[in-house]
Amino acid sequence: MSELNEQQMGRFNAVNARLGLAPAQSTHATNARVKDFVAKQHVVLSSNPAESDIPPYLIAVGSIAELNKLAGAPDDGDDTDVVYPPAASAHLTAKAEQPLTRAQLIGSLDDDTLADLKTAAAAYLKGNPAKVADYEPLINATLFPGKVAVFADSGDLNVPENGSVTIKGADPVVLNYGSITVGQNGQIIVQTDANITTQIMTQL
Amino acid sequence: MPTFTFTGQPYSSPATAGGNGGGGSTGATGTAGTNKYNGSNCKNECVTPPGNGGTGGTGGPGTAGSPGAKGLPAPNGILNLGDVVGDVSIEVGGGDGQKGGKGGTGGTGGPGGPPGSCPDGCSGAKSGPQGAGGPGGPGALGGDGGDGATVTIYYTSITGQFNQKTTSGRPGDGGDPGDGGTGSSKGADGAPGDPGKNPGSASTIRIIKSS
Repeated sequence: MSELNEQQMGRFNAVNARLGLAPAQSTHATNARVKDFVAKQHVVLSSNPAESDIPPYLIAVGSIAELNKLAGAPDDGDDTDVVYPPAASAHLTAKAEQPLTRAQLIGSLDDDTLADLKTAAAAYLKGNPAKVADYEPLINATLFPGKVAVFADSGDLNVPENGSVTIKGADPVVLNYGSITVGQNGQIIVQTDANITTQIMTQL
Repeated sequence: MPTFTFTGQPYSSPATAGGNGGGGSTGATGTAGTNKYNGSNCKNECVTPPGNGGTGGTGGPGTAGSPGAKGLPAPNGILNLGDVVGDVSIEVGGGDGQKGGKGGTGGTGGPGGPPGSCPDGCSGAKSGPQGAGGPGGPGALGGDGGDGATVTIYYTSITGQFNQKTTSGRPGDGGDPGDGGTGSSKGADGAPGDPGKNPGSASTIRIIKSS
C-alpha cells in the first residue's frame, strides 16, 4: 500500500464529491463489520446489504443522467467500440408518455426492444449520450428510479494472496479506493455493472 | 489468475426437474373359483379353481425437465486504475448457461391384482405380479451462454503491461435423464438433454491511457 500524493488525493476527493461524499469521507468509517471484512480471505461487496461483508452506502438515482454523473465513463471522445442500438421509432418514444406503471410499460415491450433499451442505457454511460437521446425518456421510465451502492475509502482495498473480492448485487456498484493491491493469485470478480476507481493499482 | 474477471454470476443449480410419473394401476382381480356340493360325501368339490391376479399396470412416464436459462450477461465495467504497478490481467465473458432440468422419475409399477375368490373345496390362487416401472423423463436442453459486455480501462501509467482475454459464455449442459421407475422390472432411464446451442456474444475490452 502506498500513500497518496497530493494530486492523487485530490482525484480521490473529486470522485467522492461526484458521489455526494465529503472529501476523504469513508463509507467504512462507521461500520462495525470492517474488522471482519479486513480479516477475510474471500470478501463480497454487494449492493444487497444482506450478502455484503461490508454494508453498502446506497444512493438513490432518479435517472440515467444522474447515474452517468455517478458512474459513467469519462468523456474521452472515443466511442469506437461502444455499441449503439438502432434509432428509436416514434411509436417507441411515445410509449414513455403513456400513463402506465413501470411494470405495465415493461410488459408492453417485446424482448428485442428491451434488449435495445439496455444497449442504449449502456451506451449512454460508456459513450456519447446524445447518440441515444431518443431512448432517454423510455430508459428513465423503465429502469429508474434505482440505486447505486458505493464503497469508498482513501486507504487500501487489499486482496490477499489466493483471496478474492467479489462485486455483485442487482444494482450497480461504485468503488472509490485510494489504492487497490492484489496479491499473487488473488482476484477481483465482478458480477454486476461496476465503476471502480483507484489512484494506485498494484498487482503483486 | 486474472486480476479482474467480469462475468455473469453462475447458476447455483440446474433448471427445475420434470415431474415423476404416476403409479401403475392395480392388476385385475383373478377369476372367481366355483364349486359344487357332493351329497355322497357331504363335501364341496372345486369345479373351477380361482385365477391368479392380473399383472399390475406399468408406471407412468416421467415428464421432461425444464430447459436451462440463458447465462447471465457479463456486467459492463469502467476501471479507472490511475498509476498501475505490475502486470494487470482482465478477463471478460458472459456466464455459462444453466444446466437443463433432470427428467422426472418414472412411476412405480402398479401392484398385482388380488386372486379370485376361493370357494370351499378349492385351493387358493396367487396375487398378480407387480407391474413394470415407468420410463424416466428426458433431460432438458441446456441454456445458451450469457452475452458479453464492454469493459473500459483508463490508466495514467503502468510499470508492467495489461493482459486481456475475452471469453464467450458457455452453453449449459443438458439435463440428466430421469430414472426409470421401480417395479417388477425397472423402467428405462430417460434420454439425456442436449447441451445449449449457442455461446454468448463477444465481449470487448478497451484500454485507454489518460493524462
